[in-house]
Order: sequence, then structure tokens, then C-alpha cells
Amino acid sequence: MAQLTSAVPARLDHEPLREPLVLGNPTAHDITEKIVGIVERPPTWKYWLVLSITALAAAWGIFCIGYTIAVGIGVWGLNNPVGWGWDITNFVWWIGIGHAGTLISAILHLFRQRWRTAINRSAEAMTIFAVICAGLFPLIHVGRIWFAYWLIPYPNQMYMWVNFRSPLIWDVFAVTTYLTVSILFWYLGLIPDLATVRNYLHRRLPKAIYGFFSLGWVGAARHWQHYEIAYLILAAISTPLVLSVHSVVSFDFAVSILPGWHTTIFPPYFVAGAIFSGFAMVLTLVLLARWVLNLQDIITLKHIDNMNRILLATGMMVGYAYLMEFFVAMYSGNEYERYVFLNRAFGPYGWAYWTMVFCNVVVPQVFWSRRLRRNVVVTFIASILVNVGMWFERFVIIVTSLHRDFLPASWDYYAPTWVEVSIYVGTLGIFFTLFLLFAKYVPLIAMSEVKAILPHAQPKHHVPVEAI
Amino acid sequence: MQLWQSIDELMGNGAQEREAEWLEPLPESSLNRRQFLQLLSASAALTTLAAGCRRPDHKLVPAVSAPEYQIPGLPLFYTTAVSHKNAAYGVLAKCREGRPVKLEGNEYHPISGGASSAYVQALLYTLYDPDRIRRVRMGEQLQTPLSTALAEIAKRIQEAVQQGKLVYLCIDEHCSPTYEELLKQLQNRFPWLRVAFLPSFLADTAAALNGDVLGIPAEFVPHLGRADYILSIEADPLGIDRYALWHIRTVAEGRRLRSRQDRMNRLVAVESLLTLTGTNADTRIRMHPAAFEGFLAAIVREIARLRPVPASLLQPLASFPVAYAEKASAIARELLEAGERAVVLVGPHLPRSIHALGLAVNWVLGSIGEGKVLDPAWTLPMSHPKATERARLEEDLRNERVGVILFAEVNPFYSAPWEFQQLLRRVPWKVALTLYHDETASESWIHIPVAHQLESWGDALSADGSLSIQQPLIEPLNDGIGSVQDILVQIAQHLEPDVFGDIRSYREFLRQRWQRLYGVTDAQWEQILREGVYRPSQQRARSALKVDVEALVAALRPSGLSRDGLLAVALPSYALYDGFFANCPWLQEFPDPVTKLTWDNVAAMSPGTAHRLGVKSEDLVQIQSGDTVLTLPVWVQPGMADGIILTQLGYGRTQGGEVLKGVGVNTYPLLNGQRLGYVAVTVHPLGRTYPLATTQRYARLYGRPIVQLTTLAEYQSADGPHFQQPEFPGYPAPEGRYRIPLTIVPPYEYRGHRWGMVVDLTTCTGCGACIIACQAENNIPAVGKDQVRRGREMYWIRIDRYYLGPVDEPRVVHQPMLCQHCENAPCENVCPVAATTHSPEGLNEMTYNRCVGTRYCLNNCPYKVRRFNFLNYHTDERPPLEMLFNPDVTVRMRGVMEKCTFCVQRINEAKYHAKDDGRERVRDGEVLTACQQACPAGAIIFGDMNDPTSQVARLRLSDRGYHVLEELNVRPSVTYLAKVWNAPPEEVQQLRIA
Repeated sequence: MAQLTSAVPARLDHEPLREPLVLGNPTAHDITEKIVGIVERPPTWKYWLVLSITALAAAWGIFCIGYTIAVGIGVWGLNNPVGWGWDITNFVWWIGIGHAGTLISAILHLFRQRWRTAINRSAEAMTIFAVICAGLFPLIHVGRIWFAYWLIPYPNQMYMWVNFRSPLIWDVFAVTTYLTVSILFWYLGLIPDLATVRNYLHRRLPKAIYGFFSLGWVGAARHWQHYEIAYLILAAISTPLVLSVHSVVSFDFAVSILPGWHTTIFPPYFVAGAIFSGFAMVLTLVLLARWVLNLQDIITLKHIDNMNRILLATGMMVGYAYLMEFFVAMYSGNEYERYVFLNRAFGPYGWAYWTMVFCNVVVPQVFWSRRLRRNVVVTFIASILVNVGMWFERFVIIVTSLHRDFLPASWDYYAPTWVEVSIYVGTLGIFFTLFLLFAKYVPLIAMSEVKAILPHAQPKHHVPVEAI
Repeated sequence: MQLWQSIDELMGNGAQEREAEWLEPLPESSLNRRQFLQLLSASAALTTLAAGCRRPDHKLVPAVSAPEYQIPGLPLFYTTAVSHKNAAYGVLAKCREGRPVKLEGNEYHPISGGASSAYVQALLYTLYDPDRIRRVRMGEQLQTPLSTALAEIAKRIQEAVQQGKLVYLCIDEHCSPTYEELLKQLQNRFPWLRVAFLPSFLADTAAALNGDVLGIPAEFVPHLGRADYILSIEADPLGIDRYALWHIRTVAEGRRLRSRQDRMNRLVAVESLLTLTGTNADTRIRMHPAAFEGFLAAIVREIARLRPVPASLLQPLASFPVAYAEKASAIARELLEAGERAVVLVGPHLPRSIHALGLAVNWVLGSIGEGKVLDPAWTLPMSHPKATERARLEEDLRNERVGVILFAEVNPFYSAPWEFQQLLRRVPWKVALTLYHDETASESWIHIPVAHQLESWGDALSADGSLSIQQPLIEPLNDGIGSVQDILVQIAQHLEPDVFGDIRSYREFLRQRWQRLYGVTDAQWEQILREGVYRPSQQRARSALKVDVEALVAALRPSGLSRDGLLAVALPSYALYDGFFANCPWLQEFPDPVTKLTWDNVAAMSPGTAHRLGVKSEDLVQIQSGDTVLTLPVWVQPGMADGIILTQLGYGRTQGGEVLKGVGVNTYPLLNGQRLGYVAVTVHPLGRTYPLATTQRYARLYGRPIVQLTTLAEYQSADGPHFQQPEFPGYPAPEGRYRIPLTIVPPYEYRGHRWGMVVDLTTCTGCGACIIACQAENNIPAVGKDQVRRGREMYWIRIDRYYLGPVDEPRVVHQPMLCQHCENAPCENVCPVAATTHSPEGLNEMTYNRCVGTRYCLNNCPYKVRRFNFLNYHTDERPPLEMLFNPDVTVRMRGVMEKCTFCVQRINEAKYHAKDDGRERVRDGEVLTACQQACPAGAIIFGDMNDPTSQVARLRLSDRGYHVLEELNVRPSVTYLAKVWNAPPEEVQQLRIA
């Protein structure tokens, strides 16, 4: 096992220098009992209540999508200067959220950040569900969805090819690649755990299903060897995707000539923002899971502390980008550029801009304090505020640039209709429904990986004195 | 393994019960299974047959003997004339497969000169308007045969005549001499028949004054092509005037700058409203109407100081308070300098005293006379004063002397004062001869849906004395019912079969009159029909101009317009005129050229007045004048004088179609007995708001070099104009005039045609004819008020109107904005499916079939001229509107982007013709875009930039030329020519500093 051969602190027999990653010194069996137990036991009434609310929201959203398709994009609030509104805002927001999963699984894996094991499974699942929600928006935002497949280059009798110069085509490739790799990565990591679940279940059908998906895993050394190699390769493939997907998404804007969009700073700025919002969403989800499923021992305050540090760092990167955008606009001497940025802050959408600044720049500053980093309630509120802020960031970029561009005669104001709001709520419903189903039917914590970082799994482990 | 279905079966104790169940007789039913299935299948088959699983068959039957000249797919052009009230337009109608699909101005017609107005275009819509009535209504019977109705009318007339009562025919102002003749003959034949003009509003102050002073009881049509200096006292020659098309043409001709040496006329507007003419003025003086008299009097006095003027004229001037003396003396000197080539125009709604002062100035300047600006030969047909005949009608109505009244294309139950309507209601038998079942038709006992102008014969007289024949382009769509004139002939024949001898129809009457009067033979008739214009050789009698100074002096009495309190004036709307066009969605959605408002009329007031009243745009106010109380939304209009409220007529119709319902407020009650003019009002804010739909929400330029401005003096000065150029790194373009921003991509070489356009901002008046022409040519839908409010109007060409300078006295520029067909089009590279691409001839083409509707191209268009079909805007169009569509242009569905194509269908047609003629290239002027063809000012020029002899190629290199947003390196194919004002340079310099 890769983890087993990794560097281990030399003095584990003393009071640990590093905070333990798993509390309560559980055995591997304890971990299995705890995680498989979630799958094994029937869900509580609370679960059903929450699931029915999210499913209802999802159904309403899907109905509104159907309504949009049946009647036309005119049921949204878009107009002639503002061709994109909540649709693409939601797309970029969801794609951003989907960034943390790969980052945690792939990059943190490559950097041997072992604390990732407690959260990587749920982060990856979140990624996939977020990308599904994200992918929905470019699809439904087109005027004629029945021809949306024309965005895929396929040989056809019309001799028509896609326009590879269009960033939207790059989007199609970036997002589908990201979704595919994320699913593969997630599934690969799941195989040992699915096998564990299979072994624990008694009823025939579930056992058969878990058995099918665990691909005959028996935990043999050969299996582990192949597994580790495959996992490493996928991590290496995924790592550039973390940077590329959101860079490509940012090209949708950066490649255009619109003041406020046409900015070279966008790729890094978008990636930082994506990691920022992704971690915030992971925090929201794991804090809920931790509380509902009593996982305090596995998802410890140390994990939360670590993630809050990342929030603080990426939040400041985003804040730097906000400042730099203003500086570049002022320094450029381009009056259109200057106007767009002044209009962002002081125009009709100023409230959105300042909401964004407050949520994304001011709120993470609380995490300079170790006490607040380790405060679950503060973290939870901050994580939600960060995602509100990041949603507004995309809204501000998209709508404030469009609503007042070059010729003042074409300026207008944009406000969403109930349909757009419903579809957004609907994707939240889809997301949480999928996540709840995942939490119930798939091991929520990567058991095999967590077991590998248990104190007694370490080669030089000594049983602490108190335990004797 | 044992298969079991129930516990009982498993336990082995269910078999008997099941058996018993089968043995038990089923309850009797009226239907057994077979019968049920039979019925089911039979009913299904019947339903299928009745409802049909397929669309109904429309058979295409080829003509056995094809109509003459008709080749399917090729257009035929016919000349005809249409009239807008008493103004005639020579028209060339494009017909496809026997139906007119587009009206253009007739090049040979002296007034139209190939151009057309929004009203002309809209007439085509009214032809196919689904709300036009097709059947005669008599009482409650909706489908009365015409003959029955005519017999009934004849009977009622005979009864009335026997009772010694009169029969009245109420008509609108028209310009048809044959119609006039018909009415005269009818009146001669039937002494009980009286004809009364009952126009929507009266504006005959000028005609009455001309009658008294000059002995010419008519309104002049000023020949502004002969004027170098035009002083407009709240007149709107370029706007609401019925001859606006002609005025725009002639004024534009006088200010077209082909080179730096060219002369330019000077247009000075003195007004309290912001009229379209005011927005185009070289100098505009904002003034309260109460000061007009003092101002004009000061001008007369100043002229008198410099030139001998009859003393009797000067004497009454003392009664006018002095106003704006300094400005008046400057203008007086300018007027004198221009001499007889200067003219003062006075708004039709202004009181007699101001008209008299204007006439006095014109007389003193010598601008009245044969061959002068105000030519006695150039008068508006049927513009004579109508007060006496109106009074006579009222008298007859009051005395109940009217037995039958016929309303021929007039709508008094909409526009007349309420007391007058009450008098009309007392007439026992009312007959409406109107296109629509309008307010008057619903009050009438019989409604005959008459034929449209484009469906019937007639003639039209223009102000210059030329005549045009109005020939039908299509069989009347209303079951073949004829025009008003046809119906009158038929009624007369019912009363007296041989009333016109052997003439059976109005067409014969017309033909015979032309033969009798002008000696037109059949061959000549054909020729006139082909050319569309006939100039009678016999000139109208001319006599030396006689000015009755006493009458003029008598008219110089202060009107008593007061500066205290609020004054309101209701004027015809730029969109709907007097309300006739209220059911035309094209015009309902036509953005008012000044306010850019659609689908509503408003109470426009200056920012100062709004501030004083504590209201802002969209607040509802109550306007009270005497007993009249109107509730209107406020529109804060920069440039208006304080204390003035302007509202538009033509709105608030209640009957006559689906489109007009619930749009605006009827402001006719604000008229002074149906006469245009200022009335004193009080205004109360209601504290509620009302949503208004405008197509332009922001009117400032924010210092952006989008519109290049200069003055004539600066333009002609040695250093040339100082345009505010955008700064960017670049190098000179091959043609030398423009710069290309630095790029590593070599420009594409256009070998064949390279289409381009030039828009002259100096001559463009912003009238908006291009918008409606484009709409008619390219099947552009009107989207409705709600969609306009959401910013989804579909116009391919719009006119951006910017206010420069102070909010109270802004300078206005109009800038037509359409797809710039950029060489480096930013919309093209972002389309993921390559639905918008560049043609080798420089067109930015839109492939609707391929468009999936990502709207990325719209976002990336710096001019925001792309239009997205947010909804299926063509779905609720009822027959026969489908006949209106241009068959050469696709009707776009929802979810598809569209935009200006440079009328690619016209380009292709010209290319076919060139190919047929064995030519390689299309000649210059062979392709006219719809906007260009309609533009009366000739401000839009389209052509091949690769053809060095073409107008476009030459004009685009003009020293006034510039490209909007040149610094973006999009390299637009549309070149704008800078706006030049013939005004003191410092006025424009101030704007630049601001």
C-alpha cells in the first residue's frame, strides 16, 4: 500500500507531534462497522424528510426546464444586450463547485496530504453531481435544445462541422472530459469499499449489486498493487484537468471582446475561485454529514481547519483578482473597460458586487483565527456565505458586463423570472437528492484509505500506554 | 419450484372458489365484449376521420391559362398612389403571385421620389389586417348581402327625403380630385345631400389666415428645397407634417455635404416641445409658447430697423410683450441675409396671432410668391378652413334635420367631442363606410367594410399639381366590396338608376373624368399607370400675390397664451398619427423618434416641470382641463420648456381590432373643440405608476466617440474638424483613410463584390421610415409591449438617439444602428456551430437553420444589433397576414438569432439579373437595401466598396467618414459620415468639453 510505505513520523510512541487524523483510536473493524452501517441500516425518518424536500425541488426544477423548452427562452428574463443571465451564472458556479473533488482526490493525493482521505469520497461525489448540474445549463440555455447535439463534432450528411474557434466547443470538450475522468476516478476509488460492503451485506440482491460493481475485488496484494498504480495514473490525468476545466470555462468570457470579459487574468482567477467555492461546498456537505451521521471521529476539526486554510488562501487570491481587475481597468486607459468596472461597483448591480466582496473577501478573513477555523458553526456559515459570494461573482462578471457595454443606446437591465429561479433551485434539489442517495447507498468515507491512516496501521505503531 | 399466485393457491384451497367464480353468471350488460369492441373501433375510426390524423389538404392548382406577365417566383411591380389624409404618395408596389408584399416610393413621383414613410409601409399591413371586417353588418345581422344593405340605405334615404330631412356624408380630408368631383355631382343631383369634412382634428388656422390675407384659403406646402434658412416656430415639417417625406427630402438635399465647399441650409427651431424637427435643428431655442409672439414681433421690429416695412404692420406689434430680444435680433439678421430664401414655419396648433406674425415675416422677407418657398401653387389639397361647414353640420344636427348620416372613413365616435357625439347619436340612421368595425361603425346601424386603398381605383393630387392614379393591386379581400366611392356610386344608382348615365362604376367614372378633363387616351392611360405620375398640361390659374395688410394687421392680436400654470397640447402621434393606424402593430411598436416610447401615449414634460410636480417617468398623473380629466403616465422629456405638457393623439381606441385594445389613453378630449392647440390644465400626481415600454433606456454618450460631431464653419476651416478620435496602435489601411489596429492576421482579399454602407448622420433626421421598411421587407415581427419592456424588440435597424449637453437644452443626434457586417466579426468566431459566417462578398451571414441559439454572438456583438427570437413571435398571426410576408425571406422560429442581412435577398436578385444580362458584376445602384430605398433623406447609401466608381466607395473615403468602435479591430463595413451642424462652432465645442 502506498500509504504504508509513506513517510511516517518517527516518534509515534509519545504524545503525537501531529494531531491525529482519526480520533478515538478506532480499529479497522470499527471503521467498517461505522461506514457500512450507514449503508446497511434503513434510513431514518429525517433522511426521508430531507430527501422528499430535495426531490420535490428537483421535480419542480425539471418541470420548469420542460416549460422553458416548450415555450422558449423568453420565459426567462434575458433580453437583447443580456444574452446570458442566471443560466450561465449557474453553469459556472456549479462547475466551480465541482472543482474541489478533483483537487482533493488528485492533487492532494499526489502531494501526499493524508488528511484528504476523510473527505475525498464525498468531495468526489459532490464533483460529479455538481458537474451534472452544471452541464444541464449550457444544454437548456440554447434556443433550440433539440439541435444541441450539433455542438458535438460528428460526421453527418450536412457536411457541417463545429466551429473549433468557439470557446463553447472547448467547453463541451472540457466539461465532458472532466465528467468522464471524475466518474472514473471516483469509481476506481470506490471498488475496495464496495467489496467491503458486499462482504457485509446479507440480503441477496443488494449483495449481488454491490458484488457486480466491486468487480470481483478480494483485496489480494495483486489487486492492491494494480489499484494503486491505476489510482496514481488517474490522479496524474486529473491534475491538469483541475486547472484546465475552469480555464476553459473562463475562456468563454476572456476570448470575447466585451469589456469586463476580455481579461487575461481570468484563467487563474477562475481556477482560484473554483477551488474556493468547491471547498466551501465540501465544507457545507461534510459538516452536515459529520453532524447527521456522527462522523466527528473521522472528519475531525483538523480536517475542517485544513480546509478553512485553503478557503482563506483562495479567498485572498480571489480578492487579489478583484483588486487587480480594477487596477488593470484603470491603468489600461480604456474608457469602456473603466466604465464597466466602475459600473460594477457603483452601478445598478452594485449591491451584487458588494455582496460578492463581502462574502468572498471579508468573510474568509475570520479564518486567520485558529479558534474560528475550528468552530463548526462559524465554518458552516462561512462556507455557505462563500458559495453565495461565488455565485454573485459569476453573476457580476456575466451580467454587469453585458448590461452596459459599448453603445449606451443598447443598455438595459436584467432580472430573472420565477422560471430561472426555479430551475436554479431545481438544480440544488437534483444535487442534494443525488448526494443523499449517494450518502445512503455508497460508503460515504473512503474506508480503505482511512484504515490506512489509522495509528495502528503505521509500521512503527506502538499501542499508547493508556490503552494497555 | 412451485409457481403460485396467492396464498390460497399455495395452500391448495382456492381451486373450487375460482371454479365457482367462473360458473357464476356475469351481470347482464347492455353491451357484450364484442359489441363494446365494435363500438370502440367504430368510434375510433370516426374520430380519426373527423379530426384527421394529418393536416388538411391544400391543393396547389396550376393555372390553366396563366395570368398575364405572371411568372411564379418573380415579382411584378405596379405603380399606384396611396394617400395619408390629404397627402399623396406615389408608390411602387411589389407583387408576388398576385399579392402586394412591399410598397416602395415611386421614383418618378415628385413628392415620393422613390422614398416612403412609415405610414406608407404600414398601409400594407392594414391591407392584410386580420381585424378588417369582411362582411356587411346591418343591425344585428353580421352577414348581410351588400345589395340588401344598399337597398336598405336607399330606402332610408328616400324616407328621410320625404320627411324633408337632410342626408349627410362625412368625409375625411383627402387628395382625390375625382372623389371631389363625384361628391360635387352627387350634391348637384341630390340637393338633400350635404358633404361635411369631419377629420379627426382641425388644424386650419393657417388656411383661414391665408384665405383672409392672401385670398388663398389653403395651407401652403413650403418648398424647403428653395430655402436656405428655415425658422420653425414649433412647426414639425420633418416630423408630423403630412408632407414630412417631401420636407425631409428637400431639407436633406439642402444640407448634403458632398465636399467641404458645399453649402448647407440652416434650420433653426424655436419650440417648447421637442419635435423631431427640433432634434434636427442646427440651433434650437427652447421657449415657452407664450413668448413666441414677443419673439416674432421682435424679429419683425428688427427687420423693420434694417429694411422698410409698412408702418401699419408695426403698430400692433407693440401689444406683444418683448421676449428673447437679443436672440430675435440675431435671427432677424440671419433671416434678412437669406432674404427670400428664408422662411418662417409656424406649428399648426399655434394660435392665429403667431401664424399672422409668421406670415408677416415671410411677406416682409419676400418668401411668398411664385417660385418661392411659399408658392401659391403649392398648397395642400382640401386644407381649406372647415369651421363654417362644421358649424353647419352641428346646426343641422341640433335641429334634427339630419335623417341619414354616412361616415366615410371617419371616426367621430372616437375623435369628436362628447357633446358632438351625442348630437350624432340622435341621427336615426347611421351608416359607417370604414375598413374596421371601429367606434363609429359600432355606433352605426349599417357597417359596410369598404375596400382598402390598395384594392380600389382612385386618383391623388400632390401639392405640386401632379396627379397619380391609384390602381388596385389585389381583389378586395372583403368579399369584393368596393371602396367608399364605389359604394356611393352604388347607393346613387339605387336611388336613381341612371344617375351617371352609362357609367356603372367608380372606375369608369374616374376613367371618363380623366378623358374629359385631361383628354387621356387609352394608350396614355396605360402610360400613366406605368409611370405612376401625370402632370396636367393646363397649369392652375395663377395671379399676382395680393396681400391684404389690413387683414394681416387685424390678425395680430395677442392670443393670451399664459406663462402661469400649465399648458397642455395634444398632437398627432409620430406612430399612429390620428389613430387610424392604431390596429397596426408595426406602428404601435414603432419607437417614437424623440421619446423612443412604444405602445403608449404619455404626458411628456420637462425635467423642471416634473420636479416641480414631484413626479418622474412612469408616474401616473391626472390632467384636468375644464370637465375633462385624463389619466396619463408621465414621461420626463429633456429639451421641453417648463410648464408645458405634450401628449399624443391616436391612442385609447376601443373598437376596431385586437391590437389597439387597451393601448394608451384617448387624448382627443384635450383638444379645444377638436382643434389642435394649447389648453390650460392642472395636473395632480396620483401616486401610482404605470409601466412604459421604451426601446432606448440610456440617452447619454458618456464621452464615447460613437458620434462624431462638428460644425460647418469648423468643417470648412483650414485645420478641418477636430474629431474625437479613439486612440489605438495601428497602421493605415490600404485605402488610406482609416487605420487598422495592429494585427498579425493579414486582411482577407475580396476579389468580387464587397458590400458596404455609408450612413450620413448630417442628413438623417431619425424619422424611422427605415425601421418599418426593414420590418416589412424582412418579415420582422412586432413583439408587443411586454416584450419591448423586457428589451426584446426585433428591429434589425434601430435609430439611437443621444442627448448631448445640458438636460434642459440638449442637442440631439440620431444614429441609425444596424449590423455593421464587420470584416473581423466578433460574432462569427464565437458561434459553436458556425451558424454565422462571413461571405466572400463581405456579408456577415446568418444561417437560421444551423442556429441552435446559444446567444454568444449577441453577447459578443459590440453594437448589440443581433436579435434573438426569445419566443415564437409569429405564432399568433391570423390569416390573411401570411400573405403579407416577403416570400424571399425566411420567417424565423423561436430560439434562433437574426440580424440585418444587408437585404441579401435583394443582392442575390440583382446578381441573377446581372448574370442574365451577361454581366460579371452588379452595377452601382442596382441593389437598394430596404432601409436605403425608404430613406427620404438619402442618408443611407449601399453598394460595392470594391467598385471604385460606386457611391459607397467614394463616400466612405469622405473626410467626414468614421467607423464606430474602430479601435476594436472589428473593421465594420458601415461607414458613418460625421454630423455637421450649421451652427456657431462654440456650441459644439462646449459639447465636446462636456
